[in-house]
Amino acid sequence: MDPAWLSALTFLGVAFVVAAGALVGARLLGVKSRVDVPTRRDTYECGEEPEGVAWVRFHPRYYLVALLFVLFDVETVFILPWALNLDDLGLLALVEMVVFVGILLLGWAYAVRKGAIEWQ
Amino acid sequence: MFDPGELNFIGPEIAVFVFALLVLVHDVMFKQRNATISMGVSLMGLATAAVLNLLNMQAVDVPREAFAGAMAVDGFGFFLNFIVLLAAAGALLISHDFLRRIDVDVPEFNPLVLFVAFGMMLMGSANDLILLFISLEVMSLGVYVLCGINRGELASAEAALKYFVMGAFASGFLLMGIAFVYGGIGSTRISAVAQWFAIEGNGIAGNPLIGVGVALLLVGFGFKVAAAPFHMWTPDVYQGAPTPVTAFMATGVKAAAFAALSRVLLVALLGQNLEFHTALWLIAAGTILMGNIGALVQDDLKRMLAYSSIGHAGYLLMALVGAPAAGLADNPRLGGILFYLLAYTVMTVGAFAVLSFFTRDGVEDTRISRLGGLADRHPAVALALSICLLSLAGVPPTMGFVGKFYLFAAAIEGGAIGIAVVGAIGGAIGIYYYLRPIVVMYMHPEPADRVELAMNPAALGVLGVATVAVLVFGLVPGSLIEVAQDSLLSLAAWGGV
Repeated sequence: MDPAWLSALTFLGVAFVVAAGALVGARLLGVKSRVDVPTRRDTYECGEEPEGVAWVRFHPRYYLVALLFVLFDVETVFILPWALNLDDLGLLALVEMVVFVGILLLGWAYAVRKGAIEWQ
Repeated sequence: MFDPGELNFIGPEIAVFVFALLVLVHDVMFKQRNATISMGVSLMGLATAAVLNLLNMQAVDVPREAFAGAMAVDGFGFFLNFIVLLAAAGALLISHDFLRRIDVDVPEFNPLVLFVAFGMMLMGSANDLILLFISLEVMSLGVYVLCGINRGELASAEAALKYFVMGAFASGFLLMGIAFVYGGIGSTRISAVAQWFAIEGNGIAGNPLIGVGVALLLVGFGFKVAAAPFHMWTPDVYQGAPTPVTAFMATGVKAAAFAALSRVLLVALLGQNLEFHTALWLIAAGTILMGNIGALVQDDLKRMLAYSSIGHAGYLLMALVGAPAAGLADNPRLGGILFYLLAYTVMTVGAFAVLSFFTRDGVEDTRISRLGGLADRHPAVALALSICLLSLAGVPPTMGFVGKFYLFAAAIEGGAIGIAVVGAIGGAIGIYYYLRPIVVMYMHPEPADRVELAMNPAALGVLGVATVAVLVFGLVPGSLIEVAQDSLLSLAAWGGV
């Protein structure tokens, strides 16, 4: 068989073993409780008490905030490796980053003007 | 190392992008938005891009790579840029009065059109499947929003959602195809794929990874160009989207997607096309028949044009079936693909310019019966629409006829006689349904509850220019055909064959 297929098959096998192993292991090692207490059916067995159902409608402003977060998140992702290698890259890289951050700032200004972060 | 001089090659793209940002900033920074300024600046951006593109076209004689091979600088890309810029300008001009009438005041419309055009232009010159995918997403995301720009209208929202769900699904196929091809060959560079295939003993046969990849690519592109059996979304989306957006989708999106498909088929897979010949044959035949037969029974002109756009994608695929395995120079008629994309853009934008006049109390009403008596009321508009429709049907002496002639010639010269016969059947059906609106315009009485056509100078200008271009390039297509053929042959520079 083609070695490329063999590695894919191995990967598939490992994935299967890990997934099945977790289930089987839990069954074998888990403490079996015969008493049906209400907490067993909770979303979390410890920590915060869930309140209400999960299927509620969220206000779209959550998404706007999330989008703004992504804006700066991506910025960081690009700036970090850039900053580490700035010495080797030289002036051109600096100009490129100014252009990049400039475009992102423009997007941010646009979002602010549109009232994306006003939380009424 | 990156050479800043290479930025010249994406000059048109940069121009469109910068002007889009300008319009966006203008629209949010001033309390009182001036729609005319916004439109003017947008059109200036397109004009600047066209000039830069022309300069590039003259400066670059020999096709070359740029940005470490991610981009191909060649005549094919330049030609597509012009088509995209024309389509965007047409859509913007039609939209100017139309959006006001349907009461959509969205300042993001013009910038979105420009961003979409930016993605389309990159798509035409992408020499890397990853760049191709990203530019395709830039285009698609913009178009999803444009489809739903008329938020109050249920059909528009439905079109946007349908297009988004189906489009995201198709993008997945495309990306998966790219991954498989990369897995099999070790490069996403289109020219590198071609060179890999050129090595003796390398091929799709015996490499199931690449075979699966190519199949997935065909599915992904098939969706984007609305080829059967991946065309089901087209009528609903084209009908639901606002008319200027539909015009842009039918022309720009189709042209860009087709350019990307052509580059993959004619560069990366040229020597291999016998391996998937039957699949491409069936897709082409199905697309031609589905589009033309579907258009027969439509009572809405917009929906009819949607089906006809499927048919036109079929004719273009028909020419691709005739691609020679030995090298592009064997079949110069393939240049008809670029010519036809341009012709289709011009005549379709013209037809949609007329369609945009048909609104009633802020709602579109594009039933064919509304055309009744148009020839008596507005003989010039009726004549122009007739010319555009006849050109779509492929009747001489129009641009559509010349383009179709070259597509058939390309298929026949490539030995694909069977598909040419299917194409001829489709064309014959086409003449019937394109004549129907003309008959209604000239022979039927006005509908009793007629509304005055909302004619406006911008859309009339688009219609006039389109009609004249259809006739002029239909009568003397010589030089344009030559440019189209040279542009397509520039792809041969990349091939390993």
